[in-house]
Amino acid sequence: MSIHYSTNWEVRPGGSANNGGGFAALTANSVDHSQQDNEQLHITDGVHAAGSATLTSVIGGFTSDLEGNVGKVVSGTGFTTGYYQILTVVDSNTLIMDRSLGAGAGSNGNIYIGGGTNSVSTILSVMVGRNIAWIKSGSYTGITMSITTGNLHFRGYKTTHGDVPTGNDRPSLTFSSTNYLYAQVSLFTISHVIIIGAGSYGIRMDGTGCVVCNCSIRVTRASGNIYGIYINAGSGTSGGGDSIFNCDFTLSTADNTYGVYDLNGNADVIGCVFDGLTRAIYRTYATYNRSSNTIGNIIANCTNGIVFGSAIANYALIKDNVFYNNSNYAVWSASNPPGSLWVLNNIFLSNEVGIRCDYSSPTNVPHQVDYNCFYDNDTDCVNISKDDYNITLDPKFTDPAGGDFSLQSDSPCLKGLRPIGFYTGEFMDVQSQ
Amino acid sequence: MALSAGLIYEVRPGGNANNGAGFNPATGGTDYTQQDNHIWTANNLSCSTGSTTITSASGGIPSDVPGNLIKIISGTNFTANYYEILTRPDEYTITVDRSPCPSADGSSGVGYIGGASNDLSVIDGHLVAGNKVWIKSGSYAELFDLPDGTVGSMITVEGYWESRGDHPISDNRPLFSNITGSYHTTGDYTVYKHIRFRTGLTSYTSKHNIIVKFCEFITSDIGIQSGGASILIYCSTFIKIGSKVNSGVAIGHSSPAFTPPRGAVIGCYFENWAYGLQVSAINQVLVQDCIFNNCTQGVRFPNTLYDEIPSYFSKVMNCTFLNCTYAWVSTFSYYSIMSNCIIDTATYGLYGDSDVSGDPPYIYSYSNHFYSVTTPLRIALDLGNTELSGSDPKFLYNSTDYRLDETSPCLSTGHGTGVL
Repeated sequence: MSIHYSTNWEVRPGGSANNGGGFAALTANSVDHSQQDNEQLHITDGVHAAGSATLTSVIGGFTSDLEGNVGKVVSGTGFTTGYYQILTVVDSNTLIMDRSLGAGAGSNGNIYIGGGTNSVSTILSVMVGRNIAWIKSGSYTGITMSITTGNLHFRGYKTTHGDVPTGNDRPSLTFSSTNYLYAQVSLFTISHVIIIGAGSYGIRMDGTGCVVCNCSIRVTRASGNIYGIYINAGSGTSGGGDSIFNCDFTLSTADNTYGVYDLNGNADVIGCVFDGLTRAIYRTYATYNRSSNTIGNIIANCTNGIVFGSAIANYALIKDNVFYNNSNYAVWSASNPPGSLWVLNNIFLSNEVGIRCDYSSPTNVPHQVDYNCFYDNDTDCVNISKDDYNITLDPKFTDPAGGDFSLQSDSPCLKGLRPIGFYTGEFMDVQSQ
Repeated sequence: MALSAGLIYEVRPGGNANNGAGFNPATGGTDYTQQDNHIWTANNLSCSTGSTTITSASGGIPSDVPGNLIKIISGTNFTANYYEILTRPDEYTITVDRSPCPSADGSSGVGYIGGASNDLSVIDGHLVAGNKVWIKSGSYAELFDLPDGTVGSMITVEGYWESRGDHPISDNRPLFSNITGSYHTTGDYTVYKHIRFRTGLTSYTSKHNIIVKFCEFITSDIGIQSGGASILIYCSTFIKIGSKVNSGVAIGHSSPAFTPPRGAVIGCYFENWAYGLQVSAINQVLVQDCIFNNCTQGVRFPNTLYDEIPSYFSKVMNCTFLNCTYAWVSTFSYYSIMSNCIIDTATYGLYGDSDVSGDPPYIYSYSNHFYSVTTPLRIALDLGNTELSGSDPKFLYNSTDYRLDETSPCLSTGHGTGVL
């Protein structure tokens, strides 16, 4: 046995590295004792037979509601220290754990049951696939996160699990030295946290199907290139495919800054904010019939916005974005395509160039540049033509220079640019949720 | 020579299948296709063997016909076909792009210059990459079969109402009225805009780079059945007539391992389908801003033919599902996400399942609103902000208007863009 896949881990500023920190509702008796700063029960006289998963204690006090909670063995003669999950409470002095507590007989076991831990770093090695670590709002420093187990999930919260904090209500994870969040495997997700790194990356993801959601990525390195999220998920039809939702990037360096550096070329970037970067999104290595969606982002004050460093192999959809005051190219496809470039329903305001394509052949890539608003760009399009429905009118943002991209009531972009199908085929104004 | 990539064709109800129907604006001539009748005809055409010069004893050929097509429909030793007029030396003579009489002297040829066709199926076999066909509002009964365009030169078929480019909607769009149960077929690199269909459009196995915009499919079989990659379906309507079977859109229905379906379905409306949108395995498909009304399964990845092959990386965003038994069935999917959707009245919302090896799926919910849904999430992981037991989303008029009332609980609750 091992820690159950449905276990939820609790990380909180007031927790302790000695606490059990985890819980799964394994039985009808189970009560979660991890969502508290202090342990629920502490024994110092744990005993187990050689190779046995049965733990006895004279001190005891075990009750059936402990089933599913995790106990941490921090010391004891003959004990293998670590995290153990309580499967069954036999009686007030006897527990059956998920696995053997030690090869030989053990005594004087010093064990904390329940309570949250105080650092996500302490539980990484014990988490198993499908586990969720809930991280309560607060500041965590000295973090290291090199994730080598697939399908692990990390969620920030403010007051209660699932409350989806924003801004500085999200827990902040400050990485030690030049460390960064390194997910080496697939199916990693992290959401609702602030990542503060000092190395080259905020997050590096080498696995497939990872998700970063509602995170603030901040990297403070003084020199050298910085990558907010660096994706290098290998090859093959099923490689990559990561999703980045609602993230913002604050990257400081004297050199180049990349918000999302997508070596797989097929990550979806949705609802993010990129401000003042060298390249907001850089995609390359787009082979294996890959495609990408870039939707609903604000890309402002960057040198280049979205850059395709190599061919678009299948399609690249750029939709519902705002490109403002980017000093070079808002969208730049720098290589020959066999695939399609679809640029739909975006606003391009005050950029040097809206869309630039550097194709040697063919010059007429299968593309759609439609339903966009182009205004006050030095050049709207280079080597790519517009389709029927684009407009050239001031979108009337409230205060774009001040970072407020809400539309004024008389904006021409409020209606008509984002049609939706209906049985009559008429344009419909879609109210955002 | 051959017919030019720059040719623009005209199809209109009052046209004639014998008319020239095509014009190349690069030649500087006058476009005589945007009219019902031909501008010139003769039944006394002659041509020497292998020559590209055609003469007519009766003369009267207008001086500005270069760029127009002449359609030769019959004649001794003439090859009936469309020919592009390159020059008009005099009123009796034209030169064309290739010889209409390749093997023997031709005589008594019958030909027409100018005027629109009345039938796309008469033209389709002659189209080449880069051509465009304008279809005037009206009804057309025949099935068409478009050839492939190319990566640099797509073939476009676009409907119009009164004048080209007027972007008709509703019943002002031309109608392909055939309801025989067969399909229109399309090639790679093709574009369809502002057209109504009463039978489906299929690209069979591996066709790719197909764009459909502002079209309407009210059919008794399928809507669109597309084989391959880079499919963009935008602001179109798919309504099933009769029993609730088949798919409004089926992408990648064949050999998914070799033609992984990729594409985006945006701003579309689906009603009364067994599967509103069904995509085969190994897909990466974006479904955004769509409405699925009264379907058994609004979206299904992978399709029923490929349940054993996983689908990947797909997203269903900003969609409304109303009265669907299942909103999104994702039987064997990795890494797919439903976000910012409203699911109103369903048995299942996001329906996941274990794969064939028994591993759990990896599908996520983020910022969705479920109202009156028996099982909102089945084997799916909530990334946050999912309202499993939400209140009435308050569509304005529910069955016919899916905008939200100003008191809707769904307004300003989904994920959006951040602020600087």
